[in-house]
Amino acid sequence: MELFVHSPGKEHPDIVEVEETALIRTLVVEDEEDGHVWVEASETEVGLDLTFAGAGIRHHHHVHRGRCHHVEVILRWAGENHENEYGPGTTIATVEAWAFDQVAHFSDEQAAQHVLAEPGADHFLEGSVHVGSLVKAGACTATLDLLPRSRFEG
Amino acid sequence: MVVSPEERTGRLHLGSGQFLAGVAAGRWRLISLTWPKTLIAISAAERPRSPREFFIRFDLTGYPQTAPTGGLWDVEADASLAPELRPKGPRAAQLFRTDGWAGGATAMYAPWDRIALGSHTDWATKYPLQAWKPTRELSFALSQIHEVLNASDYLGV
Repeated sequence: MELFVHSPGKEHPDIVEVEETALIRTLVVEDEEDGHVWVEASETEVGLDLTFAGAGIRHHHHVHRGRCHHVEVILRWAGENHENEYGPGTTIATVEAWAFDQVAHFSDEQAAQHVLAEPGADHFLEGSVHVGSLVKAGACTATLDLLPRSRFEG
Repeated sequence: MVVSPEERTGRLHLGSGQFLAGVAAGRWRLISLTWPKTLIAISAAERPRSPREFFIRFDLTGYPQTAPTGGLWDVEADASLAPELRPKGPRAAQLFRTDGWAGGATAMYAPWDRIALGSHTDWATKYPLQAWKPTRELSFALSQIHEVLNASDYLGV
């Protein structure tokens, strides 16, 4: 079966082919500090000695491989920093829900006109990106800007 | 058969984790690829009397150094989708213009589209977060289009 494996430093997943009966340990390099695995949206680390089938991981499921057990998200909006903590396999769609609803208090219409982006990035973050993919070496934080979506004119 | 570097890159990107994750999530699917023409279906939010997906026929000539271009396609008629069947809503109608813009039938009014970029030379610097760059993949454009077709301001056809 094929899995979508997300990792730090890379926003989009790699496709990895594994056997259902293989150990989750096959996704990581022994003794590597990135040697921890989470199922997308779950904050509970998956035991490396479970099989994929035993852990309930199926074809085309998304998993996260990394070293940060929690990621502190620092959201910059309206001149203030707002912080929240997530599991590394949490998607940007979940972070957006917090940012739009609980920080900015947007209506649905306003939410559709805003996006999240890393400072200085050349693109918006897609909802499917894992926050754990945004951490930098030596840190377990991700700084995000809440920005208005452009309306093309000219 | 000799495959050009642009076709090799295009096929590689159509097999990338980013593209296939979108397929697995039901966001889009590849219908056909006859280089440089690529037909892709992109899913849309449920709206009354509206389709659940739209087809876009991309021209990937020069990809990825040159931006893709593409317009809504009527698969049954094998022709550009009629204006009355195109998606409506503030952003959807702007993306797929029917008001006489020269690229309306075959291109998108967005900075990731070759035709629109060619007629708006300031867009690459004016909209850097959404403008095409050779480092991007086609999935970048697909994601932008999918977002428009699934946003709360998309009104159906």
